[in-house]
Amino acid sequence: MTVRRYFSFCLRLLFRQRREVALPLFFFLVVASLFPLAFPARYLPMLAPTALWITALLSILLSLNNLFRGDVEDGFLAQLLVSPAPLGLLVAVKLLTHWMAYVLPIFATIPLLGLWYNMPSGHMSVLALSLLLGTPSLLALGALAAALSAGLKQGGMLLMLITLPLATPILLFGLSMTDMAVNGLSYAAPRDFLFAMAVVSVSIAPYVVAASLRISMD
Amino acid sequence: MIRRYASPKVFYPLAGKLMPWFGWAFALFGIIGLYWGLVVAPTDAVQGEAYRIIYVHVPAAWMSMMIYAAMTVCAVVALIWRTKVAEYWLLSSPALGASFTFLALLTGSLWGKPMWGTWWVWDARLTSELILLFIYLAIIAMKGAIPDQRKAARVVAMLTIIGSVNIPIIKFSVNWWTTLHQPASIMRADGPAIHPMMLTALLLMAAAFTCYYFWLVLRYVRVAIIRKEP
Amino acid sequence: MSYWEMGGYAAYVWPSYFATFIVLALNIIAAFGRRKTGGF
Repeated sequence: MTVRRYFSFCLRLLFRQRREVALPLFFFLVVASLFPLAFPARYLPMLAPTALWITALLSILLSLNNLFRGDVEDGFLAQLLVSPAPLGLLVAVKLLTHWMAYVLPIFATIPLLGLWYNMPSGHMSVLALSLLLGTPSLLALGALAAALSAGLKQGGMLLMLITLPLATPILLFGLSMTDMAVNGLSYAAPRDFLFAMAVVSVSIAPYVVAASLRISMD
Repeated sequence: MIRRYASPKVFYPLAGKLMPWFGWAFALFGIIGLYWGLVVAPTDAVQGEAYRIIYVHVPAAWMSMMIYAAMTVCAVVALIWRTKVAEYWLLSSPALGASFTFLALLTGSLWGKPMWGTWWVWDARLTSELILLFIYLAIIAMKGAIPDQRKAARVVAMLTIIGSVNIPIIKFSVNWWTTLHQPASIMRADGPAIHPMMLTALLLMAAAFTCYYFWLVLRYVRVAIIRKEP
Repeated sequence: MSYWEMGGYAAYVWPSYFATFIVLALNIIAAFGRRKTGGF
């Protein structure tokens, strides 16, 4: 299967399962609404970056349960592993389509979140930018964990436990970027770190994920 | 030459000969180190007697890092050359690593209470150590989820390597974050300069813990060899 | 006076060494024990 056909194949598959794909987004919105519900209004602008980043992180981790599960169960992954097409590229395509289906919609909810959290639009755009820069790395890390735990019982829980500590730097840089913007400081440094991590993740992770799949699927 | 020792048949007796040396060295360094730290080393001018916690806290923290480094080396060898001894060594280490990390956190907390009035503070060092503990626990969980030990070794190896790339980044990012949010570093574990007597005691305890690790890991590897090799 | 204040700050020292001793001992037992199940 060529890379291009695999790309449209993944998109079609995700579209056919759009009800399932929508679930993590739904989770994101429900959890994101709990914080402003529970906290007094004056704390909200301070709370917003942390609450939204952590909620996004959890939502992405939940979505990663679906990353390889279907392929493992129906044997498609085994086929991919023996196919002549370069596995690294195929994985890259799969991760890209996963990000498009599960993470992109989050950005459509940014105005609504700004309303819920009383955040001015300037701050919300920095928050959105931090998520845009940070989510590729989060996805890459989660995909690594998903590849290593593919096919295991309790794989979903393992996936979360592995990814969460490792995701700390991305979380902290994303938070400090928004924090500094809110306080009127230049947020260039964390933004550049996030960008660098995203570039490295996007270029290297697919191959490491492919290698991890070979190890765990053996 | 090293290849010879990578074979379980050769490694087994070698480990058997080395084990008692490490065991006794641990006991010796331990006793001398304890005496040095608790009796010989002078009372700290600022902290009084409570500072003596560092003689277990600092070596434990050092071990938590050193064991992860050893695991990383084993992981690389196991993935590239599929060396069984490296696989056994790798799988035998996380429990010990997690134990030392836990001790570092526990003793750090006990030290924090008299020093800064709080059991816990989210400063760079403690936070990084806590994350390291989580990583060790994730590795242990992963190991327990895979019945086939050879596959478990390779999965754990990959996870260890991913972690080892990540850990410096984690430390950097936590440092970055805490300097944004705390005016000055709260933990001055070493003080301006460390008294030579104190340093000696620290090194003695570090040597003791290192010998302890090698003593037990060699034991685990030997048990694994007996169980797995025909 | 609470327990902690009675021994002075040094009261925090012995629990640290005690905990260290226990953790090290547990690991020794785990390594040398003869349980049939449970891996290394």
